[in-house]
Amino acid sequence: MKLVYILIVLVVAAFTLGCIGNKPAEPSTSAPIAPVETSVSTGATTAPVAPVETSVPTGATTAPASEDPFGTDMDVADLDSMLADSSMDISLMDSI
Amino acid sequence: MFINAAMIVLGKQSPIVRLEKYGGNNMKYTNRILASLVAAVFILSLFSGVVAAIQTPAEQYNKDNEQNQSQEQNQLQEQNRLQEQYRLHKEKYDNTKKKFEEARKIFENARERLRNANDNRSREELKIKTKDYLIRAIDQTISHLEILKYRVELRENRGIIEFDASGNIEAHITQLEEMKVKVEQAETARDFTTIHSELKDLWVKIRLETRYYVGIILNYRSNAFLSKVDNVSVKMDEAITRLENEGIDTTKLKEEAAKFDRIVADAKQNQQKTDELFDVHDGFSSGGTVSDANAAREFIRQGDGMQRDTVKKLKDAASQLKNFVNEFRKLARGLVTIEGSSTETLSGN
Repeated sequence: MKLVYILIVLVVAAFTLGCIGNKPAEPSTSAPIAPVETSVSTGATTAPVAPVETSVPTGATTAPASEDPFGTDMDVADLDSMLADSSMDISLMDSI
Repeated sequence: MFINAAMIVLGKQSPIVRLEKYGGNNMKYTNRILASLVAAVFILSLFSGVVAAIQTPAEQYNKDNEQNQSQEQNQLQEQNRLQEQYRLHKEKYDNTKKKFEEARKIFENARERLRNANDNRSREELKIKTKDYLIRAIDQTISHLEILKYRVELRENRGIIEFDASGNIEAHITQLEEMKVKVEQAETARDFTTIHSELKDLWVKIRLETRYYVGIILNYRSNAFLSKVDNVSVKMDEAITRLENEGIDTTKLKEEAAKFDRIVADAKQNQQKTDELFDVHDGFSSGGTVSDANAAREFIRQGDGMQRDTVKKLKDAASQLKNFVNEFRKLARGLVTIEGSSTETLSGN
């Protein structure tokens, strides 16, 4: 009979271990891999996705993904904004 | 089984134990069967965690999707934070510029009054207004430098400039702060004239140097853009081929693609010349400071023109790309999608 109780304790322990094995995985620090293959699909309805970049300190409005599928508008706005900043001038007098 | 265990924990005699005491052989068989069952459950339970931990492809997809969304959200937050920081710098610049222009007008009026009246009161007033004009001019120069320092120090721009551009800008800010102290202490017309002259010289230097730094970053970004559109060009060709395979007439689409390629080729040629010009960096030392003002001015003048031209061409390329995408969508009508990476997708819907 003792054997039965020992086994019960072992079962409980095993279930606990099972729970540990089932805990949610730690979030990975590596970037998710985007699919790189080229595929042809028929009748697909997925909308094009614009890249999300952190490189735009321009204050320029971001175009919706469907209007800027390659993110080129955003890049150009950034270049434009940089040019504008470098052109800032100060109207100092010739002499005082 | 659990009732039995619970009874033992509570210090009571369990029904099974009672049966064992009074049962005999049948009870022994029951116990053996029970023990076998428990052993089987035990062995199975050892695998329960492993089995539960194995994810189905759908679960894996959902998890990846959630991670992607979370990453995109973080990037978006970072982008918003940077835009907010930039907005604050820009707002400060606009305020200082407005105040400087007001101070300049007031100074000009005070100078005019002194010319007309030529009395002590006007002289004293002009002194105050000159101080104000100079302080406001310095403030505007500092806020201009702060914007460009912010640009240079941005995470994605780090490492593009080989020398310490940020340090050079910081040194100019310190010079300007010291100049402000001099303005506060100035008393005579000669003091003011000297400071004004120093400020003008410094501004010329600052303008050349900061334009040089921005120019280096612009070159890097323009080249990155051109590499990106090379990939886009490949996707465009793929799109045309897929449509042709579906029996769709792609004549107009090919024309749009050819226009795009021509603009990009022009931009590349221009960018190559700009890169060569910046490699020589006439008038600037290897540390990024002005070594010969005249040569630097000429280099910046040429570089500025070429970079403006490249940016214009890149804008045209982006616009032409839109024409291509619109034409592609019209032809494909959702029948064909050509997908590349997550950042470069053409779809026909």
